[in-house]
Amino acid sequence: MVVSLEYDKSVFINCPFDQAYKPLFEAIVFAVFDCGFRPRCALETEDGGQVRIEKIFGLIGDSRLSINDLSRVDLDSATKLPRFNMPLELGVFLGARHFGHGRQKGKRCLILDRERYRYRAFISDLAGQDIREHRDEPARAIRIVRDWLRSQSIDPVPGGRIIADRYQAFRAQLPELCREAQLDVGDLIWVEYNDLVWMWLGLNS
Amino acid sequence: MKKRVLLAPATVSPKRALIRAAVEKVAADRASRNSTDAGLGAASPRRSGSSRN
Repeated sequence: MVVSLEYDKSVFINCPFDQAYKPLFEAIVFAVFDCGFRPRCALETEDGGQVRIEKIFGLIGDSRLSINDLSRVDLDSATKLPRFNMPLELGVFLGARHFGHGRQKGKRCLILDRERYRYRAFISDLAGQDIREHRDEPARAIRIVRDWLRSQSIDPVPGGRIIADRYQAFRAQLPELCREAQLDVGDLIWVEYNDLVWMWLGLNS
Repeated sequence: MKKRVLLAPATVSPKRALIRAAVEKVAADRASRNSTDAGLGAASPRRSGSSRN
């Protein structure tokens, strides 16, 4: 079976998009690029006419790999209800692997949480999956993502320390980069952040 | 040894040209600052050397 590079190297990132999670999210996206993969996420299509779940089905169908962060499955302070989007999307990914045909059978996923065994209290059916704890530390998340992508790649992948150091250098330059590009460093949208990371890595790695 | 390939993002920012110019300018500025610093660093021992005279 021939699997396209597009599919083989696409990593669907299933995580929250709020400000509090941003340090982890941006670190994970950087690590995915630096490992030679392409991050995909629901933020990349702004087609208001498309139903969100359809958009997610399309992204999952087009991605061999997925990184799923369950660390924010907390009760919302206003509604007192948990946020279930991440477990739902992980379920879609696992379902695609189980019920799908052809290339869908080769899907692999990484599951992240704050603590390794916390999932037992709220989604115990995940027992047997490899769950890694990032402890809300971006540098640790980078190393976990790198080690996992290394196991999914036949191409060379930089070491975790190298990527973490590069990420620090990128963050230090980001305000200057945004000033030059007339962008608001605190309000970058998905496509802008992707372009900044990709082009910066092209010149600095 | 195989070289790692950086894959382009799946979607293109409307500001890609602006971002490219910014990334290149910052890299060039830093390279120029580094070479100036290196030049000054190389000059320092000569200055301290001359002070011994």
